[in-house]
Amino acid sequence: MKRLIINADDFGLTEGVTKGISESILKGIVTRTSAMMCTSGLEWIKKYANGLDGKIGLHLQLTDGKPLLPKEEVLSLVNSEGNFPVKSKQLANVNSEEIEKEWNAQMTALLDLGITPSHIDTHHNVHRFPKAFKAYCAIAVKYKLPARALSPNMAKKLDSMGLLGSDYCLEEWCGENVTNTNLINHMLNAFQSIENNGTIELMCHPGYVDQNLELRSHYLESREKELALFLDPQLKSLLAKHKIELIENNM
Amino acid sequence: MEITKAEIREAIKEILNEMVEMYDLPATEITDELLLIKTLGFSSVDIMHMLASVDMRFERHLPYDKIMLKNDEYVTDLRFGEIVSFVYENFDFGSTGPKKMS
Repeated sequence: MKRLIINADDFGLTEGVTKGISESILKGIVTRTSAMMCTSGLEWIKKYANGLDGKIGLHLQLTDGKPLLPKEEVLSLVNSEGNFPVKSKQLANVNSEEIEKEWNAQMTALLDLGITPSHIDTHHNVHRFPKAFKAYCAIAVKYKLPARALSPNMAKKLDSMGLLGSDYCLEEWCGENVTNTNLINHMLNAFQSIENNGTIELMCHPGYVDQNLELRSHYLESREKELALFLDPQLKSLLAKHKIELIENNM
Repeated sequence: MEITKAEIREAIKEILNEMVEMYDLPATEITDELLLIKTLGFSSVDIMHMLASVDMRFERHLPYDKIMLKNDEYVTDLRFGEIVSFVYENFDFGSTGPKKMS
């Protein structure tokens, strides 16, 4: 059985991105999204969350935003202005306990919006760093939520805790030759790697480009191409042809 | 910044041990001859994650393509000692990496 989760990252990044993601789920084949709490986009999340019950997870952040906790409580995570670094490669000597405290605050913020998360993952996949992975597991266990795995060993660990989000996360497709054919080929290769039996998560970034996005992201036109692709009924037919079942969650 | 090879070895060993513990891999004595994939049970993705953590630890961005490619082919495994030597030899060539936190 080939099962596919299509997760749109960055819900709340900008209004255009949030609107685009909502459309990609309501009118297209994206199965769920994950929301960012450390941007100025909480209003957009509330506005575009209608109809997405059970399809919104938490996109835990250590980059590209401002922590929810006071700077003094998360000194290892912030720069001198009190912000997270923009990119994951700018993180340095982060403290696991501070990450866990901050991520608990982000979870509380999502719950305060009235959203019960369906899963967790991280912005820029920062849980690849051991110190972040420790906090990531603690959050997944505390809230009993399936979590994105980035490697077979990570998948085994999450599976041993009963919290595996998927067998394999397809990270590398983003922005690269955004066409039906290319996407299907990437998926079929990914399914082959798990012997065509299990769940693949496709991480994607559909959305509309707006002024805010131009100010903070280099990933622009490709978001609109992704959105058009996920709204294209042909893609759904192709998935059916290859007997790939779309699902929201693996648990 | 002055750093000794022994300090680099200890720091990378610490990262490897963290990953072994994090993934519940069998405890293995880390020697220079240790093969990360064959002996430790890492995947190529785990190696990339480990190298990213090395960069984070030393606040550098090292040119790992030089160690991952040999004779225009991707290597199929890496020894712990190879990584230690590579980081030591390239330490001053890596662009300054992660921003200093306050």
